[in-house]
Amino acid sequence: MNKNRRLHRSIRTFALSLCFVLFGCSSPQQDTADGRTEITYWRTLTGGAGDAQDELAEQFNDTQDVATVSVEFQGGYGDLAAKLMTAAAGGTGPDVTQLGTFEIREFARAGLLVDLTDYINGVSGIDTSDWPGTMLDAGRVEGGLYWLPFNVTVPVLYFNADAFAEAQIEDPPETWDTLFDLAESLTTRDSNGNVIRHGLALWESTWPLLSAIWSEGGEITSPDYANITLDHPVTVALYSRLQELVNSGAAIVPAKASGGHRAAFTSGRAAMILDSPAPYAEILRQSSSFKPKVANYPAGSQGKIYAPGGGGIAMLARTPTDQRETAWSFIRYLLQPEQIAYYAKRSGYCAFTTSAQVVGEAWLAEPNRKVIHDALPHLRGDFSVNMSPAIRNAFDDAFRRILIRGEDVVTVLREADEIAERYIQRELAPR
Amino acid sequence: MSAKSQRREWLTFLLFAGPNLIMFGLFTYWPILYSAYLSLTDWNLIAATPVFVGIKNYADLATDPETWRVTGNTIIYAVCVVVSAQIIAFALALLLHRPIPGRTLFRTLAFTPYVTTTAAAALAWVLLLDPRLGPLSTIYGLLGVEGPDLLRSGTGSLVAIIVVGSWKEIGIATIFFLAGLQTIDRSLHESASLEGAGSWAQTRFITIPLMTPVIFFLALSGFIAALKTFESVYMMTEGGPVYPDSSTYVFHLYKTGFRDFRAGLASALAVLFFALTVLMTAAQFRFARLWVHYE
Repeated sequence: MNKNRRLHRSIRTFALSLCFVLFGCSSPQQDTADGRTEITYWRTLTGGAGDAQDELAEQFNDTQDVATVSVEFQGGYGDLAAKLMTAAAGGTGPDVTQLGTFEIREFARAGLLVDLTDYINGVSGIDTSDWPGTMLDAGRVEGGLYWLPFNVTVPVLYFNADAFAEAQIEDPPETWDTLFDLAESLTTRDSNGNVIRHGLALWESTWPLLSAIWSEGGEITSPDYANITLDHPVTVALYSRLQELVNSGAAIVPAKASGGHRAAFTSGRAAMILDSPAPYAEILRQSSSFKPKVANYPAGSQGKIYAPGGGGIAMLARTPTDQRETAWSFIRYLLQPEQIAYYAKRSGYCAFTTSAQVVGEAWLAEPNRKVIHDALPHLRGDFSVNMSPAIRNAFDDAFRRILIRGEDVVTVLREADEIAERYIQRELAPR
Repeated sequence: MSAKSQRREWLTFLLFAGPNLIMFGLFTYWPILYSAYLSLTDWNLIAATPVFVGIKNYADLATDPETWRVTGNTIIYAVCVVVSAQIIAFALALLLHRPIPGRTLFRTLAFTPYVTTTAAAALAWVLLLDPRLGPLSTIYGLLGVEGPDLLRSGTGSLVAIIVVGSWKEIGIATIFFLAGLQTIDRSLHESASLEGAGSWAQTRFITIPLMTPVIFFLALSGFIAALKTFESVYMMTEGGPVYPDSSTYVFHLYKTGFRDFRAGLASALAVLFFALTVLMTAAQFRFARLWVHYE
C-alpha cells in the first residue's frame, strides 16, 4: 500500500514537473514586471560597432517607460541571417533586427519582414528629406519598404604613410591605374627576392572591386537582373591587372582565418588595403609600427562611383500587431540625427544624413573622418549584386578562382556569367 | 503475475522510460522523419510551405560535381585522420606505458588536445600554419625561403584540416590504447621474452593482436566522428580557398541549407549522409571479422 502511494506521488510529481516545463516553453512573456513591453533586438558586429548598439538600446530604455529593449548578439551577418531563418521557421525570433543587405529581398518576398512604409510616413514617422535617396531605395522590394539603413559604410583606402614617404610618394592614388602602379612601387623584397611588404593586400570580397568596375564604366548586372554582364570588358581588364599584381607579389589575398587583409596591413606586411570605415578604430589602434592614413577610393574614367555597404534595421513580421508601434519607436529612435551621429562616432560607420553630420560637426572635422564622409556623395545606392545570391556567389567564386587559384580570367568570368544567368531564373521565379 | 501488478510494472516502465521516449521522439526521431519529408521538397526555410518535388533533389545531387567532391574529401579526411591518429596514439601509448619519469604529466599532455575546443584549436593552428605570422615563419626566415601557404592551396587546405583532426583525435586514442595495454597479461610478454622474442616481435605478435578490439572500437568511433567534421572547416577555410577544395560533407550540408537557403536539397544531403554512415559502419563490422581478435 505504502509502495503504491509512493508510486502515485512520483507520478504526480513528474506530471507537475512536465507541466512546468511545458508552460515554461510556451509563448514568451512580452511584458516585463514593471509593465513595460519587452522588445527583442538582434544585432551583429563586434567592438565599438556592437557596443554602440547596446548603448543606444540602454539610452532608449532610459528615455521612456513604455518599452524595454533587450539586445542579443547573434554573430556575423551570415550567422544572424541563418538564425533569423531558423527562428522564423520555428515561429520565434526577435521583434527588430539588424540586417545586412544580402537578405533584404529574399526575406521581404518570403513575408518575414514588416512593410515600414506606413510607419515612416505616419504621424510618428521619420523625416528622410536629408537622407541619401539611394540608400532608402535599398529597402524597397516590390512596392514595400522593408529595411532602413543604419550602419552605412563607404569604401575607404587605408595606406601606410611611412611606406609612402619611404617610396617618395606624396599623395594617395587618384586613379585606379595609379593605385595598381603604386602597388608595385611600394612592394619591398629581401636579398633573396622574397617579399617583405606587399604593395596591396586584397580583401577576400568583391565589394571593393564593384567601385572600381562601376567607376571605369563596367557593370555586373542591371538592377532588375535582366542584363547580367559578369564578363564585361572592364571587369576582365581589372581582374587581369590584379592577377598580374598577385603573380608578381605586389598584391596578395591573405586568408581570412589568419586575419585577412586587415592583419596584413596593421602588421606592416601590406602598404595599402581597400576597405570600409567599419574597422577604422581598430586599424588605427593596431597599426602601431607606422602611421596609417585614409583616403577615398580612386576615380575611374567615369569619375568616383562607390558601392555602398553596411547594414540596416528591419522589423520582423512575427511581432504582434499591438507591439509594432513600440518596436517602431525603437527603430525611429535609432534613426534620429543624434543617434546616427553617436553611432558613427563610436563605431567608425558614417553619419549618413546631413542633420547627423551637423550634430557630429566637431568630431567630423578630424581629417580622417572628413575623408570618410567626403565619399558619401559618390555612393551609388545599388545593392543588386548583394541582394542576389546567384550573382554574388558567381562573382565571389570568380574572384577566388582568378586571384587565388590563378585561373584564366576570360574563361572564369564567362563561366561565372553563365552560372549567374542560370540561377537567377530560380531566384526571380514567383513565390 | 496478476493483471494489477503487470499494470503497475508498465506504469513504472513508462514513468522511467517515458521522459526519454518523449525527448527522443521530439528531438531525434521526429526531425529524422521530417528531414526525410523535406528532402522531397523545394523549400527556402522561410516560405510558408515547402513545394513537393519528388526525387528531384536526389537527382540534382547525383549530377552535381560538388556532391561527389565533398564526399570524396570527407572520406579522404576520415581515413587519414583515423589512420594517422591511431598510429601516433599507439606509439605514444607504448611509450607512456613504460615507467618513465613524468609519466602522469605526459599522459595529461597527450590528452589535452581532446579536451581543447575545436574552434580555439583551429584558430591556433591557423596561426601556426601561417607562413608569415606563426612560428614557422621564423624557420622559413632562417632558411631564406617563402614557406608554403597551406590554407591558400587546394590540397594544402585539406591537409591542414586533416592535421588538426588527427591532432584532436590523438589524445582520446592514446588513453584507450593505454587502458588496453594495461589489460594485457604480463606473463605473455615474460614467456615470449624467455623464448627469446625481442621487443618488436612481442609488439607485433602479442600486443597488436590483443589490442585489435581497441583498434576496432577507435576506428569505428573515430571514423563516424570524422565523417561529421564541421567546426575546423568552418573556422579555418570555409571550404576554400576555392569552394569546395576543403569542404566536408557536413559543412556542405550547412552551406546548402543556411547560406544558399536550399533546405530541401540540404535535407536530401542529410538523408544520404545517414545512409553513407550506416553503410560505412556496416562495412567496418564486416571486415572486422577478418582482423579483430577477441580473447
